[in-house]
Amino acid sequence: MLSTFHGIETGKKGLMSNNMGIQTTGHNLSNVETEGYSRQKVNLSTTIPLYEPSANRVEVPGQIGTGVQVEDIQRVRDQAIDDRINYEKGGLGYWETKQKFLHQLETIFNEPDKPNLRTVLDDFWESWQKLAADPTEQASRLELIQRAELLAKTMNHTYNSVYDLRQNVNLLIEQKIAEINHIAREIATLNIQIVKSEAMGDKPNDLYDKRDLLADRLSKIVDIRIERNNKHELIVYIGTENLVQGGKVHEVRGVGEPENDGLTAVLWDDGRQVKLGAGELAGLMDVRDNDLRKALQNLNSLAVNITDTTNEVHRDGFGLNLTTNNNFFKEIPLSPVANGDYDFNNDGIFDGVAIFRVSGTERLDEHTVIGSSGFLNFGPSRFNGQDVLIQYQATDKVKDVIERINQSDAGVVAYLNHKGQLSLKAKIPEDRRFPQFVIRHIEDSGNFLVGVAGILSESGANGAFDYRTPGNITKFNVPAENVALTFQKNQGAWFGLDEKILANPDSIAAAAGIDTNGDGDPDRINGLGDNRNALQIAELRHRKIMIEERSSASDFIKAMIGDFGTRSEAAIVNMDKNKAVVDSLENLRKQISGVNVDEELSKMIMYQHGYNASARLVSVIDRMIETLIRMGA
Amino acid sequence: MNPRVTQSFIVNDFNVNLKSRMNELQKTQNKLASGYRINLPSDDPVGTILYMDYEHRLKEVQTYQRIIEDGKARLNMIDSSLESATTIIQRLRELAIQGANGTYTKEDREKMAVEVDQLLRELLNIANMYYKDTPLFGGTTISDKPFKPQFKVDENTGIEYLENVRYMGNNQARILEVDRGERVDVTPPGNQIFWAENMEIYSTLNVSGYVAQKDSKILVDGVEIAINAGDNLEVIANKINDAGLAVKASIQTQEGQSYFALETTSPHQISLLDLDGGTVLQDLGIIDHGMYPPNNYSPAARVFTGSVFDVMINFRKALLSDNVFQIGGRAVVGIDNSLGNLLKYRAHMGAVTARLDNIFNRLTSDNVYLEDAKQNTIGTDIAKAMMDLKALEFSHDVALNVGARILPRTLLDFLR
Repeated sequence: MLSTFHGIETGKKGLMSNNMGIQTTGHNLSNVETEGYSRQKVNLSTTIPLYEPSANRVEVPGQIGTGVQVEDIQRVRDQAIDDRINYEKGGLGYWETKQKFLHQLETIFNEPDKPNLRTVLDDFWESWQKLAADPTEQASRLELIQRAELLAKTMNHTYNSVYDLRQNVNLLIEQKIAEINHIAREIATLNIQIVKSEAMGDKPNDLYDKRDLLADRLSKIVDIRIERNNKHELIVYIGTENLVQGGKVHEVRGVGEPENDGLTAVLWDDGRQVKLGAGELAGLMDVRDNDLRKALQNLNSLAVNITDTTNEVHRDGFGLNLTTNNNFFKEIPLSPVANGDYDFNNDGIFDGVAIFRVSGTERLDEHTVIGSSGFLNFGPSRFNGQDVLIQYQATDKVKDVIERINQSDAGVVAYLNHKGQLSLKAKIPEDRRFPQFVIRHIEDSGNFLVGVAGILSESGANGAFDYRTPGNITKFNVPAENVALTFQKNQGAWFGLDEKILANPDSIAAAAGIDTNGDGDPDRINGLGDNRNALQIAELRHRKIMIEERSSASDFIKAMIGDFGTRSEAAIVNMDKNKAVVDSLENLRKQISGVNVDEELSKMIMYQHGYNASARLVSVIDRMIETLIRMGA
Repeated sequence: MNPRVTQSFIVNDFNVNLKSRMNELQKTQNKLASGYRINLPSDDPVGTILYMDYEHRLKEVQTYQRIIEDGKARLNMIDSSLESATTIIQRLRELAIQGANGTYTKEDREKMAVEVDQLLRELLNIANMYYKDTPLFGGTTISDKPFKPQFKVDENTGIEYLENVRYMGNNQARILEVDRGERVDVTPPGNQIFWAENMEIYSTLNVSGYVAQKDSKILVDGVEIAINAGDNLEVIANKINDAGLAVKASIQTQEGQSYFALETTSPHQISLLDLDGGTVLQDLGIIDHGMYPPNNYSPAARVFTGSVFDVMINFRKALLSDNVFQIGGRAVVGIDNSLGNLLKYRAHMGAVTARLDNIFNRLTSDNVYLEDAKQNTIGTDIAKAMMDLKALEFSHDVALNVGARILPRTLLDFLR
């Protein structure tokens, strides 16, 4: 037998459920524009009908419905899309960051059609040509000084801009590390709240949304993977390590790395490196440690080689004031003492010697046959690695050995200088633990570097030069001016003219001279109106002075710009590609989780009608009961 | 499956499309406004490198063109001065032929001597000419006039004559680089142009049995010749003769004594120096200790210099001493040699000028080609860019229009 008030109860349930629907629709409509919001859906179901099968059930036809109830309020979301977005966003963040900074790098170099390093370098060589055409003209000397100064200023400015950019990137890295930790902590807090709500049987949809939004933001910074398998513990991984595990956060931290110019490395709490695959942070690290570092190294290399090769020729020439052995560009040695001894490990005691270049005493032709065999040893190319050995035969020509040295991993490059002397020049080591522009080891088991080239005084291990022994400069059997000490760091920043040149333009050595006493250094001027030295310097424009890259200075810059351009272009292409993927995935997510106003409005109308109908049901039942009561009155 | 379209999806889509369209518009607008297709290397890395190459070469070409113009100005100056010198020497030749004629008297020859002296002074002025504040014919010296005169009053006539002219310049030619790796001499030094006869240096030092004591080098006319310890006279002489120079070394033997001698095979002054701390040429009695070229010959050596001035001064002396045979013989021959040498250098300078013209013309066409290539690489194709811009503008308008129609529409608009 149905209760008298059964209908009222059914009506009430309808009222409540439709009300809930209206509220949820309202919530959806209010959050049309809320970032990360997923639409929520009220799942309705019928309440338990009457009667359950049992022996004492009322004997009426059944079952009879008892109305509606709210099963749950569910957010509409496809977690698989979320995971894919998280994955793609890492790539997007990476390329966006790369593109942003490569673009800035391109702007610093000011190519192609504005005054820039390449054009002022061209102007500089051109001034030497003009000086060679008019060696005694004051105007051409002054113009040369001005253009050389402009070259130096442009180099300094370019270097400093890239340097500052690199420091900025480092600051951003630190900010990103802080951001990662901040987001990780927020996710952990949400994890705790969510687990609590779920324990109460609720669906904390808005908390889910918030957490997904945070994961979204995090996935752009660093490549994360989210594991939701365990209902009680959401885990956020970076690589294979977890950053967040339920309510626990394993923070990452930034630590200055002395081997990388004191810049920040990203480490786990226990000091292990965080392995970054994608994301803004990886992009920043990559820009800082590859693109910008390479740019700085290139500029240093350019400054060092222009300084060294120009000075090498310039010192042999004579100025209008009859002075010789002047540098054109400033040289600031790393070592505080004249023999190049240097304290590499900073403990206050000299523990090595910093020499950049050594030239032999003998004049060689590249076709000279060596006439004896042996092998050269240039020490290891990696820290604690194997020695780089280069073998030569009696029938080899000088150019063959030079070629072999330059193609090897030796820490030096070899070439014949303008006087035909064999020169060995240090390069930037691949292994960061070695000092830059420092000759590390030179040893010859035979006679090539000893008697033929006149660099070492003795063959074998006894006569070997090694940079870790102070005072080892004496192993070189050459006059002091054939040895160039390593310059101070950041050569691009202090690259500039020698004071003597600035003080007196007549010190510019346009004239060549004769070596009358046979010490390899010209001591008698050819004539004040001579231009042979200026011609020789002007010729450096085409000489492959960037020996490591086998290119002239201009070609080196060209290749560098081309490289930036290509990388920047690739970054743009990759960024666009990733952006398109992320956009379409986000659109897909919006299709599923986004709020459609029309849909919500139509639902609202339905719920409204449902509500009205339930209310009507209650009033009908009310009237029915009233009829009954009146009958009894 | 039909996608479920939501408002935020439409708005997002609209925004993304609009942004990329704006981006394109901005790029095209930039191309048109700047006139450049490439504004950053990433716009076209390959094009950028090409552009840099063109610009690099273009600058170089323009510099070489300026240098060539300057070199040609110098060559013109040389040519006109050598032309005057030729006229003077031709007049001297006429005088020599007149002077050698027996019909003229001693007084006539004294008058001729005065004219010769005046002509010689004019020739000296030409030889000491300056261009851009440096002497034209002093090699690479700049400080003094390259030809230094000495005057002497003749005891008989009481007239001051030019007595001696010494060359103070050096033997370095002036070099210009007129294209990559192409060098030309634009001014041969005065001790080549103003030379008439072969130079001869006879040492008076007996050096029989001389052997070089140590390895060293000697410098002959700017060429280094290596002398090894133990080289004897023949070896040294052979090394000089084999060096490909216009200098011949020989050993004169008289009564068992050996003397070293050098002579030129084309008229010029020999430049000699011991290098590497060696003393070979000094030991042989050819050059003086502690002196540098030119004019560092040993005082003990007999030196016949043979410059144009030496020839003319001897001619003038012969006129004064009324030596008809010498005038008709040595003087005329010497003047002819002077003229021949001068004309040889004028021809050489003419050839250099022609070569410079050639290079200049080549550089001019390079210039045109490079300028063109540069513009083609970096310049905007205006017509194409305008068409692109128009197309973009149109689709942009359409997108905005459609957006404006669709975006605000919801069911709400139709509910009362």
